[in-house]
Amino acid sequence: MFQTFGLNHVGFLLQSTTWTLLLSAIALVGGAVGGALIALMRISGNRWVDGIARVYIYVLQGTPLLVTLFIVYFGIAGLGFDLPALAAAAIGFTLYSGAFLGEIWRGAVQSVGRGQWEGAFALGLGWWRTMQKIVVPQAVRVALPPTVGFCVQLVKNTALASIVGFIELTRAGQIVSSATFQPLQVYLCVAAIYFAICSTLAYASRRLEQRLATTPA
Amino acid sequence: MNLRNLAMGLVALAATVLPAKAQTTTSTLDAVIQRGVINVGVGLGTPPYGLMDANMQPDGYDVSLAKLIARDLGVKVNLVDTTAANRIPNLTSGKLDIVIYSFSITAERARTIAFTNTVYVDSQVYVSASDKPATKLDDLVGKKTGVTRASTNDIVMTRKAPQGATVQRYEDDASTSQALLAGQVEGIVTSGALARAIEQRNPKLKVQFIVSQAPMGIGLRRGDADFLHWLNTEIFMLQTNGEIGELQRKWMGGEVELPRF
Amino acid sequence: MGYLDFSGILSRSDLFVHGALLTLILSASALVLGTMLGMVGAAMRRSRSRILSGIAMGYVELIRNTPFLVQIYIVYFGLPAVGLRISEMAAAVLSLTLYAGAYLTEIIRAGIDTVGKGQREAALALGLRPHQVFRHVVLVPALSAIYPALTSQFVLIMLASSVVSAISVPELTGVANDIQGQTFRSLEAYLVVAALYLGLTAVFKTAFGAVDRSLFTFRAAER
Repeated sequence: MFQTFGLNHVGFLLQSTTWTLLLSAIALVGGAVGGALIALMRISGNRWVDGIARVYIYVLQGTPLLVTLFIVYFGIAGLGFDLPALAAAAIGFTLYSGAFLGEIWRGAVQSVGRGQWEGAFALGLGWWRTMQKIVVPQAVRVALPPTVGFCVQLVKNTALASIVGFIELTRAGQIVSSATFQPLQVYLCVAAIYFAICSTLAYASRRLEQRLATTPA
Repeated sequence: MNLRNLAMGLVALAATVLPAKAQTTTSTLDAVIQRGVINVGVGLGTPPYGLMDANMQPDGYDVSLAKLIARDLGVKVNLVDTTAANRIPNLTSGKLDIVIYSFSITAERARTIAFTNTVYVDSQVYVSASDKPATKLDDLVGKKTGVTRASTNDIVMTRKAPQGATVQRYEDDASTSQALLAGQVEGIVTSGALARAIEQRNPKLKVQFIVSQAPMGIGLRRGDADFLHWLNTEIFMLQTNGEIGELQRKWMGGEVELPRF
Repeated sequence: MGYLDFSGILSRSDLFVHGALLTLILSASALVLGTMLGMVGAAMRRSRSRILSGIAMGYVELIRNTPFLVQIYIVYFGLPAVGLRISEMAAAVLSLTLYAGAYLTEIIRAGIDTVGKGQREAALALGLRPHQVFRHVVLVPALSAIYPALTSQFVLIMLASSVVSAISVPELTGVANDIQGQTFRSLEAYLVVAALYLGLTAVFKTAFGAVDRSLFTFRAAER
């Protein structure tokens, strides 16, 4: 009944990697929108808006992602909405990455000195124009390396999407490991694929960091 | 921030909104036929019940049964890979229509979901190295025994393990058997069907004794008499025409008697 | 039966307490051992020997770019294959330490970088011995610089420790999985666990805050 770990299994693992990449991309896009919103709320200056964003970050960062995904997938179904697995994963990952990216970006925006704002206002620029033309271009340089670093975490965390029924890389590894009963070989192969993706991202992050550090804004 | 308040708030919020759960009025039987697709929960990491074949297509005893059921309903089958622990939430939340997943019938589980008549009767057996014999549960005192979390083996051992025996829980059957092969546990309790395959592959391992027997059924939501009746009819027909027997010979190495409610 | 039913879960609160304690012990020991490993790693990363810094860098990249679950499997199932068998608790502490050590290597390295070369030279010129320079001029200011990062790293280690239930360590998530397997009230079990993780996070952030105030007294003057 048992198969021997071979090329057909490696092919299956690689095929499942597309889910890992797709889920990561969804999480990143959703998280970017959510993160921008959270960062804006945090710097809004309004105590209540800032407070809501703080609570959101506190809860999402302090809860295992597995629990968040589970609550979104099965909890929302309990409310009577039928949420497809992909939507549940997208919502769960967006909530999660929004909390982290929001904090990273808030730090980046706040790293731009108060004087720059004041200077821009003195020149007659409005809040949005200042943000758009003065603050964001500088903040991006600060924010990019940790953002890419977070992507690495995200890629690895998409493994948890298997609880909502996706056969992504880690779940594919479990399935192949059950079919072959050679978990060690299978998981080493899984690790190699993750390593290839994540070290590429880490490398890109370092290159970006160097380029932004040397070129003027 | 006061965490207790936050936690209580979360719970209170959930409690106020959650009872708004939609009530299903039509039978899943009609819904499935209308939809043209039946969503079946299976476990692709639980050979010989559910697995990926060498061409990376879902196969196994449960998977084959799901295909027969879809055929006789005249609908397409949508196989959804799930984990043992998520079988029941998947049903109660309406994500899946039925679960065919080496699903042992227990009175406890039947309080939450409904079971059809038996589709297989498996035994839970103790497997260990042939030079470390054991003949009864009391021999496991002072030893580590591996089981797969939330599986029938786990339930049986949680209830029956004697005082002083340690039960180690792993996430899937492959990890549980790997724990045995790596010597991390003295023995494991696993399904008879799987144990036979493990024994064949590792001549040093031996099935020592039978811990319990478990009849397995198909899981569905409670309160859907029409659908339950159709499924029981289907099982009866597959049994009568010999198709279930054929599957048992193919995947389980022999036919077993299937008791009926 | 209502939609949410906590009775089955709360009747096993002793298991939850036990699981939470285990999570606490695992995370705390991984933090302490990981910090030591991180110091060694950071020293190696900064050493002039290319081999030493290469080894440290390879270690950091290997750990940071692969899933933690895979690392645990290799420690728990892989080491026995080469004749080294360790218990699940030892395997959990070892893999958590290796995991934490990689992140802490980078954090501590960044902290040491904040202390300028001139400061060390000035301290040496003032007659301090090298180990005194390291302790008073490099280590304490570096630690104080990285302290916030260290605090959030601890939370990440704690959340990572939830994965060790895969090798049968009955920590908080493992307990939740066991209980939901027995009671079938998974949403409730997860809600309780989420609340407990948040509670542990709060306990730690408070403890870290207290340590911060007593350890880095010079900061009070800055504030």
